[in-house]
Amino acid sequence: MSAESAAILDITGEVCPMTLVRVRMALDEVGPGGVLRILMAAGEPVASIPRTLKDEGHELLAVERRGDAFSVTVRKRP
Amino acid sequence: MSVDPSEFYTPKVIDAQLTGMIKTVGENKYSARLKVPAGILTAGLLESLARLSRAYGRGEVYLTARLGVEIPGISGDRFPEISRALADAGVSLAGCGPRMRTTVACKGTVCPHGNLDTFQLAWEIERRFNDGAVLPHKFKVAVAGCASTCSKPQLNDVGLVGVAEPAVRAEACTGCSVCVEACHLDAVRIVDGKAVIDRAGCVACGDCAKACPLAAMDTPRTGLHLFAGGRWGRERQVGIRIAEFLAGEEALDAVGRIKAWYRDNGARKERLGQTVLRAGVGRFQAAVLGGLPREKWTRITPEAEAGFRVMR
Ligand code: SF4
Ligand code: SF4
Ligand code: SF4
Repeated sequence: MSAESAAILDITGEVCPMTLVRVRMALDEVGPGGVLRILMAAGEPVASIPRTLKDEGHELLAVERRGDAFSVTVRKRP
Repeated sequence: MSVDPSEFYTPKVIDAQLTGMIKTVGENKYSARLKVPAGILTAGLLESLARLSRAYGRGEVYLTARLGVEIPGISGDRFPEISRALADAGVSLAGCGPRMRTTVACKGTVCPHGNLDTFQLAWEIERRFNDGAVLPHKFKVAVAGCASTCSKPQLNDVGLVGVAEPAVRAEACTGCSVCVEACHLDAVRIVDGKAVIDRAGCVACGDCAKACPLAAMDTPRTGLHLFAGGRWGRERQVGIRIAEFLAGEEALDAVGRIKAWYRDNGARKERLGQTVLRAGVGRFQAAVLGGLPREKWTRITPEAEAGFRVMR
């Protein structure tokens, strides 16, 4: 699956801990090896969520800033 | 460095030890203050505490401000009995009076911000230095895993803080600015598409490096910052940083030297911070950092020295 056809999750309106909870639920949906693009607010979400994904062995494909939000594309651990 | 926490729950002295029995209000009533290094209690010990508090106290335990546990409501005439029962449960009474107190640690071992195994370091400090010997006054040590300093090391007589100083690998950096968001002190900026760290503003918490999704930051300098002379109470003093980026053994050595220096130089009822002010920070630093390479000594600026003062 390419990053273009990735499922998209928007958590720009969430705060901790729901940010991570929503990411976990979305990752359950995509299945192993699947790609998810997450839109998140700058600040605490982007400081902690990419890091948690990395620590848990998922592959970060791209991180881009879009104004006050970030787009983080992740491939779920196979 | 590897310490088995169960060691602390096997008291060496079982005789009717009175240190750790704190007089409380009520006729002949005492609270048994127990040693809980780094604030970790096993399930087995919790069960014993429940049992002992019912048998000897009033079915309650109190949590102290320094992560300790006390069993209140003990009658003075039951000291020998409860001393034996505590020993059988594998728990020691903690220090009170003019002695070293149980070492406190934050949860740096498991906290995502931690740069250090705070539990191990606290246990090792306890094992090496908490011998119950009489000192000029109380002597408190705290360990924190990062610059957030949740365990307040700067307000203890000795404080150790785990640090990790970041460095950007420019060839791997995409300028995504996640690190900028991770830094609470605005010490990272993106310049020409690459992350740049402002050394003067950086406290080496390591959060930016941990947050970088591409591992484009290393932490070439890690270790422990050492603070001394802090205290809190009727008078307050914020500990002064005297050494930086110490390796674990260097930090442990320094704790031992500071304790010995305080024992030999402190006046009765005087906390370390006061002794250091009397002796002068420079003389204290030279006395306790002896064998350490000079680049690990913190340069004491006039501002730092001015800030190291007694507040009321
Ligand atoms: S001081 Fe740092 S490592 Fe320790 S608990 Fe606080 S945030 Fe975590
Ligand atoms: S998070 Fe990493 S890749 Fe992104 S700007 Fe900072 S150092 Fe560069
Ligand atoms: S180590 Fe901490 S203070 Fe220094 S730049 Fe990184 S996040 Fe900021």
